[in-house]
Amino acid sequence: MVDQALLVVLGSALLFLSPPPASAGESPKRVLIFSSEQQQGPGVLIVNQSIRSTLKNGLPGPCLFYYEAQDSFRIPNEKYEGELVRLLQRKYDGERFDLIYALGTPALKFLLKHRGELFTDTPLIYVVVDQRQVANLDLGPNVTGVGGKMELAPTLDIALALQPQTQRVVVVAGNASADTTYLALARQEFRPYEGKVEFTYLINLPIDELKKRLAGLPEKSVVFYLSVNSDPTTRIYTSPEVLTLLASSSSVPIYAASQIYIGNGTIGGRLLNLEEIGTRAAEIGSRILAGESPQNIPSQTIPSAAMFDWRQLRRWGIDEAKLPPGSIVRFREFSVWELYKWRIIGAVSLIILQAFLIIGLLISRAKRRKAEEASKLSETRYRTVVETQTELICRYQPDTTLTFVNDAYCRYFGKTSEQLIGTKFSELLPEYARDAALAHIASLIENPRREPYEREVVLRNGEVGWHEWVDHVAQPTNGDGIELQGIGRDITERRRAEEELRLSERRFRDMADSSTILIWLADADMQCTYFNQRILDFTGRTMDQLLGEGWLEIIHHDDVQRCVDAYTAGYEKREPFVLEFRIRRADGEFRWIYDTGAPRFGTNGELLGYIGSAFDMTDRKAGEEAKNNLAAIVETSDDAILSETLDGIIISWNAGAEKIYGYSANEIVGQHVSILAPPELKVEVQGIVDRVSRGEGVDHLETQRVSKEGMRIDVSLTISPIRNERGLIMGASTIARDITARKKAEVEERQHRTELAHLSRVTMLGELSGSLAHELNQPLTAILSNAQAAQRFLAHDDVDLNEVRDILGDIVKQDKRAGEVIHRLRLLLKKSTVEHQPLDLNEVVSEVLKLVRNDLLNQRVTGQMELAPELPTIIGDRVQLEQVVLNLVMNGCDAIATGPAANRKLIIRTALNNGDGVCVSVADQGVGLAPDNLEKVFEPFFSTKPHGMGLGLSVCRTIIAAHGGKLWAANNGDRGATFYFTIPAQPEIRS
Amino acid sequence: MSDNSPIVFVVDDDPDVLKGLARLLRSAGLEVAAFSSPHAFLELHDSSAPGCLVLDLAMPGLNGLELQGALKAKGSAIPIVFLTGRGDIPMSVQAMKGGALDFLTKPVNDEDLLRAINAALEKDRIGRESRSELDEIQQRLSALTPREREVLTHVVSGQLNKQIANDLGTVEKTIKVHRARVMEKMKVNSVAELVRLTERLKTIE
Repeated sequence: MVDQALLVVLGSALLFLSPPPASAGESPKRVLIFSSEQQQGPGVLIVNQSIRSTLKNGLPGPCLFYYEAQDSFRIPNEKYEGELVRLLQRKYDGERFDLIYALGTPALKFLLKHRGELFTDTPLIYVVVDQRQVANLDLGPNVTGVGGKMELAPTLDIALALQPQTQRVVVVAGNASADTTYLALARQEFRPYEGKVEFTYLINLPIDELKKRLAGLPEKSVVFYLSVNSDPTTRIYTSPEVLTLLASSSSVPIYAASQIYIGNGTIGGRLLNLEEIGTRAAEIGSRILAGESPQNIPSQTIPSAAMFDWRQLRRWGIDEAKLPPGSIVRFREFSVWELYKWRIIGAVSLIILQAFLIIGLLISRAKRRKAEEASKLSETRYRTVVETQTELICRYQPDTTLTFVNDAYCRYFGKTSEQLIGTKFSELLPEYARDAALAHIASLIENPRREPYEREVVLRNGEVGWHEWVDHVAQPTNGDGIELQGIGRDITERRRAEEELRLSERRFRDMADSSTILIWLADADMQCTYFNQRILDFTGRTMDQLLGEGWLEIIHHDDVQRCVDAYTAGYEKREPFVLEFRIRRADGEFRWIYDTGAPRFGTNGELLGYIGSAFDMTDRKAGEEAKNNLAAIVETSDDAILSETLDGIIISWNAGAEKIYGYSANEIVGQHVSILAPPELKVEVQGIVDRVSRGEGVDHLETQRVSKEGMRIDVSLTISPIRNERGLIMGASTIARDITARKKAEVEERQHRTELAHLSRVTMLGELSGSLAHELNQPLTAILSNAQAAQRFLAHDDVDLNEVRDILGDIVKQDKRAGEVIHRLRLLLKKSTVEHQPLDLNEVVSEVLKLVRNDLLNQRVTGQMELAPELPTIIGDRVQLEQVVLNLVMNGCDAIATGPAANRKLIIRTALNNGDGVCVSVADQGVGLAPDNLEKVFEPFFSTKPHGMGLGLSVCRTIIAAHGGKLWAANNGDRGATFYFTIPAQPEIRS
Repeated sequence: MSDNSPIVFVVDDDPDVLKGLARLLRSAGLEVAAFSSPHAFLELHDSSAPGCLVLDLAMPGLNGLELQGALKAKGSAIPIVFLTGRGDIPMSVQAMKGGALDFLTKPVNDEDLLRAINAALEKDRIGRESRSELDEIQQRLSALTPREREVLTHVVSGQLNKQIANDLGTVEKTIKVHRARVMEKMKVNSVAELVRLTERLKTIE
């Protein structure tokens, strides 16, 4: 009964509810949305919204939406499936839908299963979370759809990329049917990662438990929240709500893979883009409603999008920059600045603008005030001026009786008009001026005219002042005779000022004229108006001759143009100028003067003229020139010229010093002078400094210094102290000449001389060959004879060994004798460097005679020695001195060789030389020398011998000279000639 | 000077050379008398003493050549061996011309010197012998009367007795007697010998 009633009710309801059949074109579209979720499920909301708004916008006509929510996640369809089908059939019987949306796989499966019974031909669009879920379904005709793609693995990738330290992934899921789909997917997609990270699956745990677990997770873990649509306890939240609960207390970040979770505490990941899915589904719906067949519309897969929660990123400290490119960041919290940037800027600009305005106003107010004050001041001044410049006016009779006085007059004299009228103004004048006043009046009467005159008057304070009056004879006012009228004013100040000026001018003149400086004045037109007495005296001209431009005449012709130019330039620029030029003095001589001209300005700043002062700087100029010359000499000198303080610090350094030492002035000024000395000579430097401070100089000290590059330089130093005007020594000046070249030349010359001496010696010894051979021969002969004798003795039967021993001893002696000869020879032949040692000339002479003995014999010449007994020791080179004696002896020998036998005596003498050293003479009794030749023989290449080279005597002279002595020849009184040489003794030896 | 063995006289002004030479000669078994001064030698020299002279050429005062001259002037025929430090051709020629036996250069090899000395001694001996022989002949000659001497002259010119008698104006017999006397006094056995002797004498004249 009830059933039937219900059926009827339902049927009528259906009838009532069923809309009228759709009229063509204008009838609204009917869309059924069949959702798996509960009505207000999170996913549904988004999709619904999308579909509804897109369709509404896309369709030309109205659209009616019907909703059926299965709530399959909480209540499985299977429970009441049969009834549901029947219900739906009854409910929508008579209703025709243009389009059905199946949201979620359970809804789709349900509709497909009952396609034959429900909405058989209605186009069906499925909207599922993951396209894969429909992969195995037999969709049948009229079905298309949109699916997302759960990107679990990519999300995990992102998680691992953002947090590379991750070692464990905790997967959270419920076990509702929706959940299990995801779980299966997850297990599948996560399998490849099982080697890299540890997976923990928390499935269908009570929420409190989950919370605890998540809060207690160790570091290096992440949570992967799949979905929780079930709970073992009775409390049921939606999956997003569960996430929210868990997220707040989780100790590690939570990743998720669907858009419904963003904002609920997940960081994000590759999330299902439910909006997009919805929009796409709606578009497909539009097309279908427009008439397209679903067959022609392929199902679409909407990819996920990388989406992140800004707040979670910040919570877990993840850098936004690490996110994959193109990620969407939601829930960005803007700082106040970011949000209100433009408003803030606007406000600040406004404030600044206002500030400027205020400042501007303040400034202008201040200006105004100043202007007001200034104007007030000037007004006051004006008033003062006006009031004090009031003219005195009076009328008087010829006897100076006043008939009228004006206010000013009264005020001036401090009397009332009553007091003044009737009195004589001559009483106001000083006594001595009264007569003059009367006389003036009389002359005016006679000779009427108006002209100003000045008069002394007694002022109110009793002092005498000055007035300027213009009086004239006036028309009589009351027929009482002649009256005069005067207009006057006080010019006391002016007079005083004039007087002051005159005084000051006089003072100036006096001062200028008595000055020893040349002073001149010129006016604004460049004309000279004054020359002081000194100038007149100096130039011998008169003022008239020099005034105007006459002074140009006394300037030196070459300097005139320069002076004019400087003068003119100064005037143009109204600036002072300084000039040095020559003027002709009274005696005709040109002197250099140093002239300074300064402009003079009036009270209003106008140029009044120039005033100049000058002095004779000729001496200074000469001094300057001398200094400049000196400076030029110093600079251009090739020698190093430097100066240092008493402490040895270098203060000046010329170009020559740069060249020689290599340091530039910049580098070396300020350094100590010992930097120039080699290490072993630094003491010498100090010694020099000491000497200089005592006032002693150093003259041509030959020493060594060191250049910047470290090269040694031979220098000759001359150092003198520098004194200031008071005679105190302030420093030292050093001149250093580079004598390296000269020293080298000296060394070379010495070498040359030595070689020459050697050559001469060798030549000479060559001539001695007979002697030399003989000298060697003797011992050789003795040796040979002795040795052969010994041989013979030994051959006897009775050998006298003592005899043999003697023989051997003698052989040795003879050998030594020969050796000595060789040795002596070698000495003579050696090209040795000069060795100066103490020598006894007697020994030298004896040695030589031993050498020449044989030759003398051969020549039948007797060599006779007369040696002084105590000769002082001299320092000399043995070899060279022997050479000299030998040469003289040989020459002497040659001289007498050809003469008669009686005269073949050579006398070789040694003697003291008048208290200084030794004199050696070789005298022969030969033919003597022609007087011309007495000197000529010492010239090189002069020889009287037919085969002589002529070098011997010149070399001898050089040798003797090098020893500090002299070599000369003189003819003997009777016959023959004598050659003398002296060698000075060295005083040091005697000690 | 009683010993008749010959003495080698050595004169050299260099004492070392002198000593060496003396030793050498002594070692060869010779009798040596050494003088460092030529003057000393000259004074002491007895020309009747047999021997020879080894003489240094270059000496101060009196050199070798001069000494040679002086000896000759003194009538000494002692053979001289010159020693010199340098081989000077003109000097050597002069020395040889002056009668030197040899001219050696220093340093002198022992064999050369001894050979020269032996030659000199030999020459001295021969000379002496020759001189004494000549004296003998001279003595014999002086024992001849003047007539005998005349005959001698003719005999040695190869004339027959008859011719000689004719020349001298006597008879042959007288000449024969004189001839026998000459032969006896001259102590010769043949005319040939006689001729030889007279020829020998001629060398001294």
